[in-house]
Amino acid sequence: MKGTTGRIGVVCALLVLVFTTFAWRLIHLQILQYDYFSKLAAQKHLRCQPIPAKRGRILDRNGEELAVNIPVRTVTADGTHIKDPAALAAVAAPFLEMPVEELAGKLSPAVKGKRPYVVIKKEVAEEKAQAMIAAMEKARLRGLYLEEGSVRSYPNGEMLCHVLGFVDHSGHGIDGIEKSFDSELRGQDGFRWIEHDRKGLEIVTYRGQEQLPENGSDIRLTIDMGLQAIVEKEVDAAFRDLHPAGAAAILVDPQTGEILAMANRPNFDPNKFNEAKPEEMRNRIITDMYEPGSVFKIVVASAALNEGIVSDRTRIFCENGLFSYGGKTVKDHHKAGDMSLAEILQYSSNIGSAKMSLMMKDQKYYDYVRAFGFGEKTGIPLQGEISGLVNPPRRWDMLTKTRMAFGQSVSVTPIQMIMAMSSVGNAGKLMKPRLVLSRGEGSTPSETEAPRQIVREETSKFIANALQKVVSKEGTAPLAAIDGFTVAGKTGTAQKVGPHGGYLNDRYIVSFAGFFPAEHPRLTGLVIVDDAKIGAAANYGGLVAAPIFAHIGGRAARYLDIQQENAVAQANASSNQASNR
Amino acid sequence: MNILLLARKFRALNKPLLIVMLGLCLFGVYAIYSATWMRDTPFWASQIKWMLICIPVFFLVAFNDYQWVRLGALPVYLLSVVLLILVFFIGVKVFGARSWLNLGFGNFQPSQLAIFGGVMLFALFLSDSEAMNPALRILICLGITAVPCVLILIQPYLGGTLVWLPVLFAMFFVAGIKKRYLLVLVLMALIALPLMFFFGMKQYQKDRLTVFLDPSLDPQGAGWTINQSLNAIGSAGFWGKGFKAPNTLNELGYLPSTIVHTDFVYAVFGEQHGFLGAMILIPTLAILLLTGLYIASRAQDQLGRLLGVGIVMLLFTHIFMNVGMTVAITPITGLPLPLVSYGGSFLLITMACLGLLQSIWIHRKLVY
Repeated sequence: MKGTTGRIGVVCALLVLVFTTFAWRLIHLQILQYDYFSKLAAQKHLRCQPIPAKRGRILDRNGEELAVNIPVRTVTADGTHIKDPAALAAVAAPFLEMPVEELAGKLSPAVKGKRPYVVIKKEVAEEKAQAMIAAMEKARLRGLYLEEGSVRSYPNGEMLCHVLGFVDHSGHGIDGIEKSFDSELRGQDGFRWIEHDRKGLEIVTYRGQEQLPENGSDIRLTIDMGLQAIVEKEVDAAFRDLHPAGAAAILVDPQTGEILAMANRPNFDPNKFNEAKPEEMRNRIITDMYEPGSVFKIVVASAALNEGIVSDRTRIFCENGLFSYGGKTVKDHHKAGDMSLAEILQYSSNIGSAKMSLMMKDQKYYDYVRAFGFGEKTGIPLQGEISGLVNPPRRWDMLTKTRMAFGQSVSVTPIQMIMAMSSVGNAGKLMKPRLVLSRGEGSTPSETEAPRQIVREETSKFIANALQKVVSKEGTAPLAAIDGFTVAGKTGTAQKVGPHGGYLNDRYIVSFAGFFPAEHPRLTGLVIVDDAKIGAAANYGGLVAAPIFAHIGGRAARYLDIQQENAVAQANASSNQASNR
Repeated sequence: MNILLLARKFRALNKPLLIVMLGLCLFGVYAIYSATWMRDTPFWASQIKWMLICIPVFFLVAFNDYQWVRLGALPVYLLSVVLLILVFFIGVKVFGARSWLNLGFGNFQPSQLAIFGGVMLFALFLSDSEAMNPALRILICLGITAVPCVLILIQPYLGGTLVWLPVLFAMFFVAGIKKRYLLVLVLMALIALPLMFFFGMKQYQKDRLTVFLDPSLDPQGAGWTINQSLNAIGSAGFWGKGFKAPNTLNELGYLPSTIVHTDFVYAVFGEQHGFLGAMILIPTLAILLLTGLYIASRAQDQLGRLLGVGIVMLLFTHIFMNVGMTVAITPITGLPLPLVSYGGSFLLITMACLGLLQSIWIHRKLVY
């Protein structure tokens, strides 16, 4: 009896011990670990809802909208609100442009599964979506709701497509400015913690932590859509009439390096980027290289003059148009004996250029080529730029140097070429190409990088003068002349290089690069036509590219209202008279 | 039995035990309502109906001298074994275990009757066999245990089997079996445990056990329930989230709705009323059990003492395993919380047990 009671006491002690353990465990869970568990529990009924940032617009230099956001609605269904999916489908389907059966097929599982959030259709136009809601209200039906969204739109369609690029369906920039400045355009999405109840519905009264989105910045380009339209039209015409593999034109302000217009053919519509072919999406001006041909003679001429190897009085014997060197012959169209430096450029003498290059040390000549910006990327803020191909002297054979003098055995991109030509019109200063004028609302135009002085001012003045004679009756490009202006420029005609090396017969890349007004250049232009389907006899830079340049230049001058030079002279004269009085 | 006698017996009831019992019953209705108010089925009302059946049974057992056990223990035990065999053939399968009999008005779990019968039979045998060889006493008791336990284990209902062990052990202890025998029993159990784990248990039972040892092992699978329970209780803090508070894990449906009002009712209450509420329940349950042990110690004979201890251990094991699993100090076994969890048949057994305790108290000396 006594022993039994004692043993019951032991059982008592055991029970007390166990209950004490429970109490300790509750303290542990509910007091000590409260923070941890309460956070965990909060996650179960709080949801982080993203607030999308508005993507910045892309504007031209005058503020014209080039890339904008069109508000659209995403239609979602709340299965718990739908009583009659068939009736709702019948009402809503026409507005969503889908068959009634398809919509009903999407709604009924949502209703059966009591799912509160099912995306029915994305990118529904605002008016259609609102009309659908109105129709539903009229029919006293509910269950379909609208969410805000936006799609990127390019109001100008194909125009400037290679510069603008496009964004994919998730809103990421894929090409062009959209890609290069994606993070600035995109901004920072915000978020809002919302509380939802058992059915997943938002509890509106709840004001949780919220972070507003930072909308993306607008990007203002240096492009002038007025000039772009002119360029597009001319490039279009060339592409249509000459059936080339490609055609491109650029306009640059030589003083600042700002790109004012840039167009390539073939092209695409960024609004329908998924239909575009890869070759249409290439911005050939930066992604493709070509042998520049005679345009490149400005490099050897500038270098030789700048180094004092030749002067304005130097006459170079041009072998009467047939020069054997290194086991090959170099021919000239304009066969002559002695020629001055200016004449070599004016008549585009291959022999004269080759001989000038031979007068220079290899490394010196190579340094000049590189100084003009060839063989390196210009740093234009677009995707896929290549650096071209300029072999260093150690990889030259006997002929390389002379060939390079007239633009063979060297490959350049159009953007490099136009920047080099601009330097001639800009007192020997090579500018970095600028495509973006300013970013964001209040930001000041970004600083221009210090230009690179590649030749002395006198040298470039001399070359510019010589290039004016190219665009004369005696020169190779009389068709580049623009009424009322003196144009300085250079033609280029290069045989295409085949895919396995070696030149292709009767297939040429012809170009013209030049600037005007020659005294105070406002515009530099480059026109390239790749493999025009016309007879070899007519397929010359001076015949194909120069007239296009003249058309663009003439219309651009009127658009920009550039004062004609004789008018300037007259105005100066009259003001002088006025002051004399 | 005349009215006067009835009144005297009523006055002789153990009042603390009675009050705690009724309090826990009401609390149970409240807890069940808290767990299921957002649902269509009124579980709380159904529980009240069961209570109305159980309370007369309680008084019937309490006011009759428990000496009927001497005659009734064996029939109850045998009946339960028969029912357990019946379950095997016509039982209703609930959550994978065929452990229920459909009685027409509700489901009944014979394993609960079996443990009740077992306790009575142990008490009868152990109180009558003090002169017997201790080893033989143990073996006979183990034999009594084995038959229903094997039947329950194949249902499979591990929890229903586990209950027997602490009950039997405590009764051996109080019956005066020498400690060295008990030590041998403990050692044998320790050897048997790994064998049982590797050969006797189903995969889901093994999973439950391993997950109990480390709930982070499989947070989405077998560890899901226990993690949600811990989260519900832990996130309540000191004051709790309040009665019918919005967005409790229970309301959001993170506690398994099938067992939230039965096995996990303590987690619901712990979430709703926090440390304060959960803590009040602990001493209340302790008072219930300690009063039971006090009654056992004051019983007039060894039968009453052993009955009392067996009943207290039966209730304690349920409380220990149930509360323990919701706070993750015992594995998930699916044992209900006495008087509080939803479920008629277990309420009936519990009330009968408490009635028996009251009977031991009322009839301890010839006080009436």
